[in-house]
Amino acid sequence: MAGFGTAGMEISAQSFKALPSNLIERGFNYGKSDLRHDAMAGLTVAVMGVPQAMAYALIAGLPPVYGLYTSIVACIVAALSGSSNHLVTGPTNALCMVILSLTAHLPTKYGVSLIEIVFLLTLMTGLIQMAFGFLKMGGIVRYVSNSVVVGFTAGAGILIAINQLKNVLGVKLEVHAERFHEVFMATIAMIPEANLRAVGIGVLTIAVVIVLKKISGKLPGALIAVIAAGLLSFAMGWHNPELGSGKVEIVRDIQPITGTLNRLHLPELVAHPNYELTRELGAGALALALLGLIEAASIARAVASSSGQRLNFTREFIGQGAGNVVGSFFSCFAGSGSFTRTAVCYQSGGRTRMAAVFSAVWTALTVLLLADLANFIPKASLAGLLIVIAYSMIEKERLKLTWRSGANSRLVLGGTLASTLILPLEYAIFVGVFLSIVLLLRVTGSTDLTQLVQAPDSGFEEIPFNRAAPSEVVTVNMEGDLYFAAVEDLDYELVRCLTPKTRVVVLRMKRLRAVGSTAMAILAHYYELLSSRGIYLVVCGIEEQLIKVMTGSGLRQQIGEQNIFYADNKLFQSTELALARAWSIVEMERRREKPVAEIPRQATALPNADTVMTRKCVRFGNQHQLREAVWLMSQMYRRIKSFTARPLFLQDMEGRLAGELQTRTILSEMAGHLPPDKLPDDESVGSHLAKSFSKPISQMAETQLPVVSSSGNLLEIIRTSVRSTSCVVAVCDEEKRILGIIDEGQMIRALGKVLNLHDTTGESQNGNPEIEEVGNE
Amino acid sequence: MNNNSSGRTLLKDIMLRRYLRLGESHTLHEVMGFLIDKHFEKDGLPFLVVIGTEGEFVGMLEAKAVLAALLEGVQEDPDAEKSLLQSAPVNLNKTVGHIMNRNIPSLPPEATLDEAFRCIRNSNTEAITVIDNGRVVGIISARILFEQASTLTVGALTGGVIPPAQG
Repeated sequence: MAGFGTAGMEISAQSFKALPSNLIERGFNYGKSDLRHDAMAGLTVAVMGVPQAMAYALIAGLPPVYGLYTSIVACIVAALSGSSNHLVTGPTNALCMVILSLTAHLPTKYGVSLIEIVFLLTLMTGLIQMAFGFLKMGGIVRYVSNSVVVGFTAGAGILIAINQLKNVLGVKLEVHAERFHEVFMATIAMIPEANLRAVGIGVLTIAVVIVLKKISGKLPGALIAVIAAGLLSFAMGWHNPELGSGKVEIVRDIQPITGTLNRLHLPELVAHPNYELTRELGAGALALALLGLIEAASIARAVASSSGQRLNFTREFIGQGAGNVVGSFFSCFAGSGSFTRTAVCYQSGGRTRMAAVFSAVWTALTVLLLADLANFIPKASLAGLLIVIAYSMIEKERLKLTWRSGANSRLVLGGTLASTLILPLEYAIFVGVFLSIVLLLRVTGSTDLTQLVQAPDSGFEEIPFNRAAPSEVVTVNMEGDLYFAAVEDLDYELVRCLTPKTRVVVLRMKRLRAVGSTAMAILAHYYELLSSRGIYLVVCGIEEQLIKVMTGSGLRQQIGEQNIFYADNKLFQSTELALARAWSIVEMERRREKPVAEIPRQATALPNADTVMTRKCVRFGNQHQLREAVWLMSQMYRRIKSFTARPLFLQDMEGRLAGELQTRTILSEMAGHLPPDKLPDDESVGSHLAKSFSKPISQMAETQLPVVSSSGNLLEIIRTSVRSTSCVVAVCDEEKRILGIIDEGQMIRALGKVLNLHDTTGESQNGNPEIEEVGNE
Repeated sequence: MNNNSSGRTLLKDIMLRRYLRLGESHTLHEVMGFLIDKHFEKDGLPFLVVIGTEGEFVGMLEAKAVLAALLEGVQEDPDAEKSLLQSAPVNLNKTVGHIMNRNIPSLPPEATLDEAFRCIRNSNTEAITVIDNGRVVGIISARILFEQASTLTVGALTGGVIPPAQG
């Protein structure tokens, strides 16, 4: 479930803004072909979804018409305001089971009708889901592991099947639906009183669905099965009330579908709040919200992985929440993304979210036009359909896979499944999440230490902790979690890598997570331990979160800014800098022991320009315009890594050095056209910068250049450089043809050599001394 | 190129986070210890930011200033080499605080590209520091600004293909 967005508590203004603009954008791009595909996909979804919706309402203990209502309003709102292009929202089996578990016992306790309680629960669920969305808590679904979802779904499937047995048997039970053993025992006890007609209808439905699925996966098995069952019951007159207890209960007997659509209805419990009831529903609404979001997110992600759509989970959460909130005012119960309907929508060619909207429209037409026929569908038939669906919820392959994924997965899977069958359903989810987190902490509750040794090709080699050869600089790589459970004795553990030779410890903390105050105290103690031994500490790979904690704890000030290197995108970049710093500390210490005056300095001949210079540099004709120079220079920078901005050398027709174009000169020229006021965007900055593009470069180039001959010695080079504003000195022959260039870094290194300042340890002297440059005539 | 939805690149999106920090009391001898390290040979000299004891930004040490300081008091030829070695102990003991440039322009991380272009045009340095709460959080070098400028102009207008000369 990883990667479901970012966890954070910041309310997102963008989430608000994103909705209308996206809709408008899509509106403009929506073509006839899209419409045809979406309408057909919507129809396919509706054909499969109508019997499903009615059956799911039955799971929740509600009249089937509310399942249809949920498939209309909640589906449209969630489709239009969510992120996925294919997610079809509406009643789902697991959610309906939780609704039943949460609400079944409440009407007698509070004297309020069940459906009104469900509307309130739906509203609360939607509000919680929207809050998750606006607080950018997309990451919360990460804490619900795959094992929890598999275990819960299988448990819910078992519960649904066992609860529908009574409807197939045509009997009534007065037990708590979520108590598996009670329902099971009561159902067994009622077998002798079974209504054989209902059993026949149920078995027929099950058989038709299974057989049709075997014949072709594309046939709407559920629809054909319930129609067949309805026709049989109608033809035989089994729905006739005169049969008494032997009659087959049909949809009309539960609550007739009247051929009217959802109307705006203010839930009674919103108009007249019952705080006690609302409080009692709180935990359940949270569980329902979480379960709904997990379902929707995992289904949307599964489809997106095929369609290639990039999902925004924050927006998906808001969409799901909005569907439920609006739905609660239009006689809907809490819904979520349906796996089967979403898959059918995608597979039958749905292109945009309009496919889901069309499925709702077709469902609405069914309600309006075929209500009378739908009323004759036998309850036992819907129950039979549910038993088939419930069986498919027990995903044998995923169960096997999860079971084989180790003891932790087994424990979470088993724990969740068992609690689904024993506890009220909402608690089963919490139990699963709790188990996942506890086990996660057990696994991750450690910090891995390794040592890094710089290999001769200037790469890094990772070796087990405390196995590196003694060296002045010890580099320790810390990985994993650094929170209170993991840091015990870490300071003493870290001390183990020290040898009498150690002068500096470099701690790489790049892949460290969850750094808390306890960890900071431990690190501060480690710093003290090192200081007491006269050893320096340099830290690197420091990420933004860690900077904050280090600043707050005062450790940043203690270690000193010059010893802290912040994480960069390039692998080991900050480690390289930290190592350079570490070796220079070692070097400084060595020099401190040996005063500057005592360093032996033999009179060696000063190097000449031709031994210091780089031969390759970029030359360019001086007859061009600025735009060409900018293009050429940008190409040059792609291949040169230096931090400083190299100039472009200009030459005349005879190839003689005619001038130098410095980056700053180009920038000044281009920026000269910027207005004094702030510009609205980058594009307008670009258009102002380009205004001077046609200016000849000969008019802006520096012609009085710092130039030395190839025989000029280092002091001449440096003096020339100091007098000029350029960061390089050109080396020319007698005819002023450019032979090469010398930059300030080369001058400093050459001077260091003359002054005998070079590091002779050899430890930090890796890498190729050649600076790559582009040769362009 | 820009990292936010408003179509504006902010300095915090493009700033260089890789630079060296020095204290004012570091000597040139110590600084040279850094600069001659082979690690900097590949990427060229790093920018040297000087920070105070509280971590606050004070100035920048420029390579030219280091070179000028090391050559101070060194005679012209023919005794230049001898003179260089004789002056070395004094010159190497100079501190960063004495030779650094304190007039470095700075901008906040939320500043926009056009502000940075105006800023570098009005100053005489190779870089602008990006300061947040008195601390340096990054550097905008002339090179970075040039790369932004070329992307916004030749990159955006022509797709990177060199346009034909006019006139």
